[in-house]
Amino acid sequence: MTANFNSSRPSAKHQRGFSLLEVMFSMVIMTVGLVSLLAVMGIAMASTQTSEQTAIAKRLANEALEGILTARETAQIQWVQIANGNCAVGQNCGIFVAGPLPINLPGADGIIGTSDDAAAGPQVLEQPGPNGVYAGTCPPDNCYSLTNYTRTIAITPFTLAGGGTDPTLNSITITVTYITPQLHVPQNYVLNTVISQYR
Amino acid sequence: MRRLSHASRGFSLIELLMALALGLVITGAAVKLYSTGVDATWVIQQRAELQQDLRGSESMLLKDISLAGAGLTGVPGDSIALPNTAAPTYGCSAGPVCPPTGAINYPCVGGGCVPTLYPIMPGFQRGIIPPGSVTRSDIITVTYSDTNLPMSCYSGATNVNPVNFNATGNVLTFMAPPNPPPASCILSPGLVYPPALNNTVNGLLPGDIIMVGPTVNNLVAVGEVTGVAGPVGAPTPCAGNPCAGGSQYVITFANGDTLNLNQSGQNNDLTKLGPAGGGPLAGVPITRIFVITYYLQNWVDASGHTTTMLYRQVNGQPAIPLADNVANMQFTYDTYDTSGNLLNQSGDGGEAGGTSPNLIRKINITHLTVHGQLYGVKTSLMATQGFQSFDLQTSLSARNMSYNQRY
Repeated sequence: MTANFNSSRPSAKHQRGFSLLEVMFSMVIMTVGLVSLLAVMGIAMASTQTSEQTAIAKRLANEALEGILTARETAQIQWVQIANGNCAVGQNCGIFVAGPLPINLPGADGIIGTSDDAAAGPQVLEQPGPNGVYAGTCPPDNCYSLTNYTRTIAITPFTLAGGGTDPTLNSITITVTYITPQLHVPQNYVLNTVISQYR
Repeated sequence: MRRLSHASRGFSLIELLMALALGLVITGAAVKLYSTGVDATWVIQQRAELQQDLRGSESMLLKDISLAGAGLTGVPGDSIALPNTAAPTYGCSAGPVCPPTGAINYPCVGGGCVPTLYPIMPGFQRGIIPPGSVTRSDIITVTYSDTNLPMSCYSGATNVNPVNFNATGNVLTFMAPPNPPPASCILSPGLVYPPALNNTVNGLLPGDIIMVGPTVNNLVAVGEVTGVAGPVGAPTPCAGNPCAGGSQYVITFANGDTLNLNQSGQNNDLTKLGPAGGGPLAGVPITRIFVITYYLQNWVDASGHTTTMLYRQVNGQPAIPLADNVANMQFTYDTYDTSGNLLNQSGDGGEAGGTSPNLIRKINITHLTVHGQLYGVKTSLMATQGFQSFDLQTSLSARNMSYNQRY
């Protein structure tokens, strides 16, 4: 009877389930997989936060361009002054400081990127503080001085397709470079446009 | 009974306890990771919503401001005086929600405050005090013409079919132009004949504002439409010169309109423009204009929490909420004083110093702040990181307002 029972059942090796060790191994592998999925979520979060920095960079670039356009429209500056140089408004040469500049207020002339900006102090973004209400002053509001941004205004004579330049047109390239805590490589927002001498 | 072989035995109690303990630890870690993931999703969702609110507000606001003054080039003084026997209101006045200070402050140029429409009207600190703020928010009103509806085709820039005033001067009858329309009728690409004035797509509605003028005497007046009557569908052209027999549209500008712009018989009113006793007024351009106001308004939800929303009001139509979570809105203006000196970043656009709003050349949006006005602690991340917020600061050139300094 016993012998018959033993011979009719499948071998013990086939009937065994997973060993504890096997279950633990599989759980460890699954955990590693799940954690790597969470890393994807982290990347998504970082890019959402970076998109905010990009949006700010876009506005900083537009702001500089609108200042130049306004000054041209109102004849506040002459055509020769729309160039890189280190002159003050009123002198007959370029007034836009070359190279990257910190994000400052436009100064007395209302034009961004000129030599009087440094005296005007940094531009700040003001956001509601920890209590979530907008108080209008810092603190309790959080003020961000945009120190991780720089803005470069490069103005060059417009190059014609057949060679040579057009004296009535200038190429304006405004580059806003910013570093985000999420992405350690500096990011660039570049605004390219052409400005005409004629208003 | 003999003992079961080693292979067929189950777990021992020790093994089971160990497995349970290990399983608990791993499950606990997984739950913690999942919970952090849910928190992160919540934060990302809020942030995306904030950016969406900001983009929505920004795109409309920048578009309207950059169009301010478009199509008003021929208007004497670049501004339109309004009847002021009873103060007309523009800005927030038609809806049930309004800033406590009421409508926008009239630009007071040279002392007296004569209600006047300008391309840009700063409403410096005329808005609500946003919750928690110490200063009032700003209002901004811009005016530009709507070239979408070719009203001049009907009003008759030529003598072919002049607009007809009734005896009081507040009911205007427009006649469809001949087919093909005269050269003075400029149509959108693809159109060979102007659409009906009361067509359902872009036709006139009560609440719309119509600018009549400048007349041969350089007079301009505006009126708010209170009634539109006429044949619906394809207009029937008139025939002959003077033309007769065409479709007619009767536009009424009755007193008691939402913006109080119609004040029959008063100075600067539309009724002062028509011929005495009524009749046709030839050669006068007629345009629909947009008077658009942005302001903030608090909105209380069912559980008693206040959210600040950005509203946009067009003409006499009810204001439409544009974005929620907008915590504040403030502007400054680059303008020129009467001596030609630049007033940089002036909050009221130089109004206190008697500077005309026509001299505004750059609009700086100093704060358009959006933040998640969340009540209570939603998640552990929100509890440690506080509120999420986003602040927009940018500038915009008043492109369509600098024509009078160009040449």
